[in-house]
Amino acid sequence: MERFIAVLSGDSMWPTYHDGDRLICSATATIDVGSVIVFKHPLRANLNAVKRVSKIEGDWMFVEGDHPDPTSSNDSHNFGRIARSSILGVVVDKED
Amino acid sequence: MSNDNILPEIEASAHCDGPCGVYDPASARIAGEAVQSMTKKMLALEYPKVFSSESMASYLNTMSRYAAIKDEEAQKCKHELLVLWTDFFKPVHLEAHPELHTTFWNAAKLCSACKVEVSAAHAQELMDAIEAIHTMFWAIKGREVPWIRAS
Repeated sequence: MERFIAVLSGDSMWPTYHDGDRLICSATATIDVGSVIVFKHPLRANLNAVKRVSKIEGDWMFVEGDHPDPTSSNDSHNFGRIARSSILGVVVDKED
Repeated sequence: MSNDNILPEIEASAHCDGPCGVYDPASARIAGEAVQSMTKKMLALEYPKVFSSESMASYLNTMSRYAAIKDEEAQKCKHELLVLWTDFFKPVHLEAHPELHTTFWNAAKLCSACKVEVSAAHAQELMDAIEAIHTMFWAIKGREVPWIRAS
């Protein structure tokens, strides 16, 4: 699927996105540092996660939540880098 | 803008992990090094050759300070290890590191032993355990971070 809707659960992307937001995602959009991506959680096979790319090293990426409280996001600080192949899409818009 | 009728939908998590922030076994390593340093100093401190109130006071004062710092740093080391063990490491990590629980349990026990005793052997075993935890930690994070000591 080239485009899909990711229904957000949780507040780690606050204030950019909120719990319950419906994010429009593209599976073909370019990924840069700063992109918000949907990816397969590296430690929980059945979980899709949403974070912002903070660093790219070849086929590996570091991701972080937007929430200013450093304890509020389960991200690369906890689970390390993620593989590019685990990325499902890039958030390109949000439904009104 | 609504795409309900044309786009497939998935769930995506942006959940927090309350106790987690930035973790690094370096905190435990620094405390462990202090324990080892104080242990060595206690074992090396010579008893006064000339007995006097002044020499004994100096000796006891120095030894007491070494012991107090060793005790404090061992407790700090245990705390840092427990934070890593209970907050950073998750059940899924056991698959790749089945020795995880035993390593942490032994490391915490060594912190206690280093408080109770003045043992160079146990201080070294504590450092070895912290190095093992360092290796597991950075392997899970997918980064190659060399084991470096400050002392």
